[in-house]
Amino acid sequence: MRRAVIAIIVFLALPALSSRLQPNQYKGGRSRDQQERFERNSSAVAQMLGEFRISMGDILFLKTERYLHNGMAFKAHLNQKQLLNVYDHDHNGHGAGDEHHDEHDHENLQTIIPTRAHDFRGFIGELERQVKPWQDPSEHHHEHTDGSELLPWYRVMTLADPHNVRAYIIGGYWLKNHSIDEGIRFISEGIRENPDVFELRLSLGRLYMNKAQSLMPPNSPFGALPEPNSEAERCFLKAQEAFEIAAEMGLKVRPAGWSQEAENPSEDWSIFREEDLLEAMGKAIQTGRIYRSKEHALELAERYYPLLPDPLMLRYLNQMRQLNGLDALPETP
Amino acid sequence: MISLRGVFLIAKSVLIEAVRRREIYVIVLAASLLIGMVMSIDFFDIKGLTKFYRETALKVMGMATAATVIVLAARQLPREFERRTIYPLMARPISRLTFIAGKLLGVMFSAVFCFALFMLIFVFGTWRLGGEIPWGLFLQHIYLQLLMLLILATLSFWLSMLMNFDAALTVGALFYFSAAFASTVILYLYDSSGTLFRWFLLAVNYGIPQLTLFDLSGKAVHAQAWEPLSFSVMAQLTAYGLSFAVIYFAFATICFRRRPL
Repeated sequence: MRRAVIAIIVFLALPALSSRLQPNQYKGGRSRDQQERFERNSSAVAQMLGEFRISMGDILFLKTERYLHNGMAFKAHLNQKQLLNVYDHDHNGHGAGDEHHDEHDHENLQTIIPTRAHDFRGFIGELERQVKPWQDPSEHHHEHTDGSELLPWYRVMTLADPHNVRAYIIGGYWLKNHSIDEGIRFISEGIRENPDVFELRLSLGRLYMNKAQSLMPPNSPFGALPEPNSEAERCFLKAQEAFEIAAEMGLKVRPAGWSQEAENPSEDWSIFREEDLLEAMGKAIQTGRIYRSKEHALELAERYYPLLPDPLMLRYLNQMRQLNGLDALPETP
Repeated sequence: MISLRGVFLIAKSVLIEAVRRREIYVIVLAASLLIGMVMSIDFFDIKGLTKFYRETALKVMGMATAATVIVLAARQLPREFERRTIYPLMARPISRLTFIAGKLLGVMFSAVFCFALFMLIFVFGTWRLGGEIPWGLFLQHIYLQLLMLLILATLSFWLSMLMNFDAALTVGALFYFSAAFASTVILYLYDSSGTLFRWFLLAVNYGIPQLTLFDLSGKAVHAQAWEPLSFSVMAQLTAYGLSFAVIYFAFATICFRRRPL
């Protein structure tokens, strides 16, 4: 009996003992930045548990892929690069705006269950194509669901792993179609759990902009000023603040001199992160000009451009300089 | 010769025992708690999100019922030998075929009972969440699941004649839980395999029941986009499932007949 009690106590104490393992502590999850992923992979506990949680995260993301396609499983989405690309096009609006029927992205998709021509299994393959959600990708128009049924999976992903940043960002994106306030709450929760991730601040800014626009009179053009001290004004200012914070945080973590064409591009940074940072900076300047002051916008542009000397930033800087009565800087080819 | 009355009497005793032992209730209760937990998660206060519930509930229900069937089927024959209760039974004018058929029918009755309890919970949960049940696909899914359970039950009977209860239980459970994975692996391996291994994969493809064919949950979850299966497909699936069930049952019966009392 005594042995059994000791065994139970030792078993219950195992999680506490794991904190003594070196190096590092395990902080699971898949969708974080490369630095965190590196730390996680170098952790002793990660080597024991990490793969399981990564696999769980992958499975849950694949599940959302299937929900987006009415249950159909596509092979190409298993590729991490393509998965990111599709999500960034469909969910974050990179390149494709809010269009969810972006068919050209799916031209070369293959289903996990192969077509008859590529299936060696004979009648078993035929039956599987009937039983499972399946359509010949070459014969059917590729359509996406509206995304609302995906939301529970993002909630589950973030409950299972509060550091799953991508789940917060994509979930927040879908949520705005149903309730912007819920989307703001969800992203705010993500920020509480991951205070150092600039993309979450950018998402928060986008959602506050959406909310502010929804509070403006119908058909108000972009940039129209809200009533002073109104809820819309408060939301615009919160959005501006979020964009500014996102830009500052992004600039801090961006590797100096990063370039997509570099021979050894940093693993901590991707073209998507670069685009997000540019968006955060651009929106911080634009909203700063509209809802704060042109002097403030110039101040931001002058600060950002030397840190990220991108042609887009130079254009913003010159716009702000001209607005403030200064000469534009020469645009270098 | 097989006696239908004998079959039903034995089946009834298996069902009564399964119900009295309360194992089914424990499994249903545990699965229901899991389903209840899923229902209790606040999904951003958005009403009518039922796909997540449908998927989780159908998966939990399927796994719980399969586990119940494997346990019940794998222990039927070994326990009769262990407790020596088979001797008075065999002393009666009951053939061994009647005996084993009765046991199988009893296990299937228990599976239906277990499934029926789950269905009540599923229907209640869907109603509570304000969703609709896609009855066509849903009933087809239940039918196919019962066919799959029949395969599992007959396989477990056969395994329990070849090995002890623990081993039969483990192999049966491994077979069930790895079935979907194995089907996908076969597909991936085939393209990159040599001729000999391709023949092996082909043999596995046809020689081992592909349990994934009896899982219609994918379409039942996304029912708004899919039609129920045609009669022809259902008939083919029935023939496919029954052929394996008959083969496993025949093997189990042969082993049981050869077993000395």
